[in-house]
Amino acid sequence: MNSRYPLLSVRDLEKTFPVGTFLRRRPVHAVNGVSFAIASGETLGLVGESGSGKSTIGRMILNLTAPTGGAITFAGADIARLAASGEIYRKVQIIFQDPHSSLHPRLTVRQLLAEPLRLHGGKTGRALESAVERLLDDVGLAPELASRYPHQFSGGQRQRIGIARALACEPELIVCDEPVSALDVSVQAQIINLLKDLQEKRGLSYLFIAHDLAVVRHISHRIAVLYLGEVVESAPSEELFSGARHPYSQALLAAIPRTGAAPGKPKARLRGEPPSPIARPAGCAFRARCSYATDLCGTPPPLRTIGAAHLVACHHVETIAPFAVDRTIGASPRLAALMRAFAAEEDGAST
Amino acid sequence: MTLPLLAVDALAVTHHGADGSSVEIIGDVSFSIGAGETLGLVGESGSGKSLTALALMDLLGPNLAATGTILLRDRSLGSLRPRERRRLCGSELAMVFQDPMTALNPVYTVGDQIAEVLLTHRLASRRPARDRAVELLGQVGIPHPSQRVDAYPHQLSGGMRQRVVIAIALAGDPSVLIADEPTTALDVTIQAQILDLLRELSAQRGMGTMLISHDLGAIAEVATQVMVLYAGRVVEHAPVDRLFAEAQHPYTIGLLSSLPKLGGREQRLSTIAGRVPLPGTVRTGCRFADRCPWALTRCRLEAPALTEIASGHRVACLRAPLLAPPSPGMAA
Repeated sequence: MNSRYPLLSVRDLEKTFPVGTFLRRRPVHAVNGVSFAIASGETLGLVGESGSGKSTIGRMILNLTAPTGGAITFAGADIARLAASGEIYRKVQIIFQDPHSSLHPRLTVRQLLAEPLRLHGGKTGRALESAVERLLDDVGLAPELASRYPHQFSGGQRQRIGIARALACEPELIVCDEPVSALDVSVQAQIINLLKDLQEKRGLSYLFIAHDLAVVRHISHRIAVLYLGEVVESAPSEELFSGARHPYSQALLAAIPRTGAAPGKPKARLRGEPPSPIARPAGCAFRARCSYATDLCGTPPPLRTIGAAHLVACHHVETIAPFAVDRTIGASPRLAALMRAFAAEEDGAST
Repeated sequence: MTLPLLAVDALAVTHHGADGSSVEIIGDVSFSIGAGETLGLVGESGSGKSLTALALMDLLGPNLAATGTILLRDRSLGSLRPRERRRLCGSELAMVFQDPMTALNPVYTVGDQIAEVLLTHRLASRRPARDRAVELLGQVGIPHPSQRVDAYPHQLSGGMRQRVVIAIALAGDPSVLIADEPTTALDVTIQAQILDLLRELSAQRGMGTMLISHDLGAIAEVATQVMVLYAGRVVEHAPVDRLFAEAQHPYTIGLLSSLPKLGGREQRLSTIAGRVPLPGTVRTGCRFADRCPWALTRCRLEAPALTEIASGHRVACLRAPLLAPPSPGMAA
């Protein structure tokens, strides 16, 4: 890879879809001028609610949807050009949300994994067979399971198969579109650990799309917050969680459930729902739900740098105090101590 | 002490196969919910959370049979005739389902669907039913209720639809509301709004609520007491603050530890190896023993009883005393 360029660079990306009847066709801005970059071995978290355009961005990076404006470059080359040679489909892969519908029900795991290996890797015969086994081993599944069908696996195992399939053509970037939101917490933790291990071993980059902030924080180096197709704030993960500045990011963080909240203390909740992208308000898209909004917000706020790699699109950012998440559930020191005590006891028992 | 609104004792659901076999899917589930209280029911898929709710609502499938006692206020639901019981379900005891997209009928207006409850249970005649529907829509926080009453479900957003489902459940003025994963299908900020609404309704109406969720965060926000189910059995049951601070059962500890937490991405998340055993496959010992990193030989032989270790805190673990926090007098 050429180190002069970030692995993936997205500039002023736009996507409009036509809606309405043919006499009254109007454009809907699903993605509106989004820019970001992902370095090799880095994870960028993309957070936002339904309709924020996060999945559309993922699809455009995979060249599954054509952008209506802006540019996407992969290792310095335009992805449209890489798509012509088929290279983009090998270098960029995707893991889908629902492991139940993203695997072909009538193919065995061996067939599912062999297809990309044959098409992109040119493997056949014995080499193909051992590549399938190696992939299964990489994602923590026993090679004997290769002859089974997807319905014979649990949700977590199916997601492992989905990951193995994405790894088959040795991609450099994987778009993870809500990969753990359909899974139980303990299984979710296994998949997140697996994704992090694979990143370490193979130097993979991830675009991690999700709505669960705690999960995104755990896996991402940097996080970009989307609202109605625009980036409203982007910062290194730790910084976003300790000092979010955009009122929308603050509201998202405040919505993370916690224990021990003082009873009777009213919580700052976001009123209303995101406006439809069809009836997009002029100026700042968040202004109808924002408690800081003034007349100034009628003009679109530019994305400004307020700290090292910390960007915010808000006119009032100077007057808004940074917001920090004070505690999350499951973080009690007693639990941590218990886990350590058990681990020690287990080591003692096994020696 | 006042009588609880809902008291369940030794509830069990058994599957009777066509070949005469029978498998117990949930067993020995006991709890009670008082006025204004919310019981959170947590567990992984297949732990029996939803089945518990369906057993209470008398909505079990044809091969499933429930045993045990269910007392709603002072009436035993098991001794009622089917018609009487059906009358109670949907009025005294109401349920909110997970997916507001499928819980609503797409060809009726939301007002009609609320009025249907009132008419079926003879709580109002047609005219007042419509007024009452408008009033209920207002109570669940739907803006412009007098216009929205004529809207069809597809004209509303997911969050608004879930509010309508809650309004339908409230129409019969229930003393106990069962909410099965009410926020799973919703966005984060909308989820917070719905949880706030459930909490307010429960407090205002002095209603008992049972909240089923696999999301420990949602439970932490709303519940007053939490019951953890594993493979159809209660493994731990405690007041909410106690459960999150003083969890005793290895499964609860595993669940809490597997949540991503503050403190950087360098940390690995703890996981629980293996999966929930299928019903009927564990015959002796503790059902969690195979996945429990701290299981002893006797855990596989002896089924642990649910024992009260502190006021309101019950745990089913043979090692429970070992997991107790150090007492204040002891050096840590």
